[in-house]
Amino acid sequence: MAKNIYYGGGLFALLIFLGLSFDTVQQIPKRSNQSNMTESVVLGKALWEKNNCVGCHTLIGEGAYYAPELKNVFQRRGSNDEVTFKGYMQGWMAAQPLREPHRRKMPQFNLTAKEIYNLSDFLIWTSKVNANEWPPTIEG
Amino acid sequence: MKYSSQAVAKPYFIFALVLLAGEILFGLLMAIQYLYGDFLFPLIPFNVLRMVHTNLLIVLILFGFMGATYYLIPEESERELWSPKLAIITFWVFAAAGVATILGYLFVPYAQLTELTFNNILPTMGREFLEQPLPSKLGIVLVVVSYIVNVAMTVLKGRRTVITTVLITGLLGLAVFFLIAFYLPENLILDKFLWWFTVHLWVEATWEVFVGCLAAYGLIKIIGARREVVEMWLWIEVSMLFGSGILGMGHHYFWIGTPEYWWEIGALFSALEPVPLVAMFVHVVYDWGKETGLKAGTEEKTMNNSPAFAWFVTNAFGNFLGAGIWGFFHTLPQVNIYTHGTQFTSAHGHLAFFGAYATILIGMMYLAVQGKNGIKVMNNTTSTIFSTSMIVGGVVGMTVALTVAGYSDVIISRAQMGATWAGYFDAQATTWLVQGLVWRLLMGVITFVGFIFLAKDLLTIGKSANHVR
Repeated sequence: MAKNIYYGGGLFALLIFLGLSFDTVQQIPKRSNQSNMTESVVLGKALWEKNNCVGCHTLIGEGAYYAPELKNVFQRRGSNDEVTFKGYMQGWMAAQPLREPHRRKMPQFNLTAKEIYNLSDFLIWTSKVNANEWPPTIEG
Repeated sequence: MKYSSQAVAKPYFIFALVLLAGEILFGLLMAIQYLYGDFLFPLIPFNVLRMVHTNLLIVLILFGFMGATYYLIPEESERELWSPKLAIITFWVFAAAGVATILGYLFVPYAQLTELTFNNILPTMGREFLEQPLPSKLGIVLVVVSYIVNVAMTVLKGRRTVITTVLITGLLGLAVFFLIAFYLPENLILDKFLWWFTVHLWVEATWEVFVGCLAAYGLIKIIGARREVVEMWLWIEVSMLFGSGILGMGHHYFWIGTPEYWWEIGALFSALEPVPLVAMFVHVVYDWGKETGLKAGTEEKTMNNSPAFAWFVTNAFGNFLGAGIWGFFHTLPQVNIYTHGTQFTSAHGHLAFFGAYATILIGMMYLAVQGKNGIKVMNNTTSTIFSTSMIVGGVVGMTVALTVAGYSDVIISRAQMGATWAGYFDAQATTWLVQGLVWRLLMGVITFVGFIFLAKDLLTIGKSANHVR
């Protein structure tokens, strides 16, 4: 009896989960604006992974808490303007690590101008993902 | 020890202890870097420290699980392990792959490591907890498969018990869910969605099933709990674990670009996740109370291994508090919108991994020491008492400190200022958060001192004179 509940119940939960997952996978392209996912965005994501950015930052709330969240960095640091943001990113990446004693440091990753451009495109794309209105407030 | 092949557990347990030492040490380094950003920078940046810290944790739990399985499977199956030789080869392969991976993290810049390890052919790296290079990931698959084959062959040829049957279902789940780690979608949201299949279904489903099996075995061994009763509990616990844990996955899908229906699903089922942990807790404590004392008509105590049992009870408490209560705190979407991605999560993570996994593995190590040295009744030594109280006190202290830090993080960088640049840095600079991080470091040091006592105790307690042999 208990055995059947384990196998049956487990399987039942797994099937419901897989059903919902199937639906979620169908919805993700629209919710994430996959049509805007250019080659540059894809390259940017690869750079994000290659440099283990998630080891310090969170992105849509997931990652490490050593450095700021980056889903809304485009709005915060680029005022929603792509040219402004890309210019900012070039300057910011070149300036690392900042020479402030005791401040937590971001390493110098020696990315090329084109790579920073790709990374910026990836962060711009991410900022537009429909994440159910997270984070809770926009600017403070 | 009834079966000579149980001895293969020893290298696994010893290596798990070595990894635990590394995990705590790297945790301490991170705790210092949190407070003094120049510490070790640019020699070892934070992301590298963190990768080493978390990967050591995962690998140490896997080593511990393997050691524990190889120790209990021969007794449960009433026969020698199918291939002790394979278990030893597996050990060396896993240990070598683990050491190489950690050295790679420490001595090769991560970007270069991705290039050296064929990440451009099959990209899998650069995601939290799944940072391992492709060869290491393939090594893990190889090791896990040979482990499952070894366990399954032993179980199939010997006596079948509920414990071994349930254990195998957990193992199969563990293997299957890891395979998803080899697929890295180009779409970040799909990537995040699938990433949890490995991470959540390991930590909140299959690993917990494993813990249920170990607890059941421990109760039978240490206090002579009746097998039929323990097995019935085990079925109920694991049914509830899968019933709540699989759909409880929804609590990770509130804010990462996945549809809204995960709010209801995730809230309901993850709120049920503490239920099996309460059941485990009641089960252990109830049996403990019922069986304590002397065996009927004799002068012999029922409890035959006090250090191990202390850790099994710590597991019942730790799992319930760390995974259950600290998890429940922020599992409802109304709360999680503010706690998502804050220090609160790390408070929960520390107590949950310790409470649910480290504790029971230490308990299994004491059982193995007892078995190996042929001790009838194993008693505490001074080191046992020092290590248990310092480690438990240290980890609980870290959790409380991080919870306080998390509280300011939640209030300032989420509720007031909403994940902004200023919100982040204002929160990080508040006295509450800084003090929290200071106390976390101090408590981490206490944990490490406790660990030294633990290592000493495990290595020497077998020879101590105060046991009944």
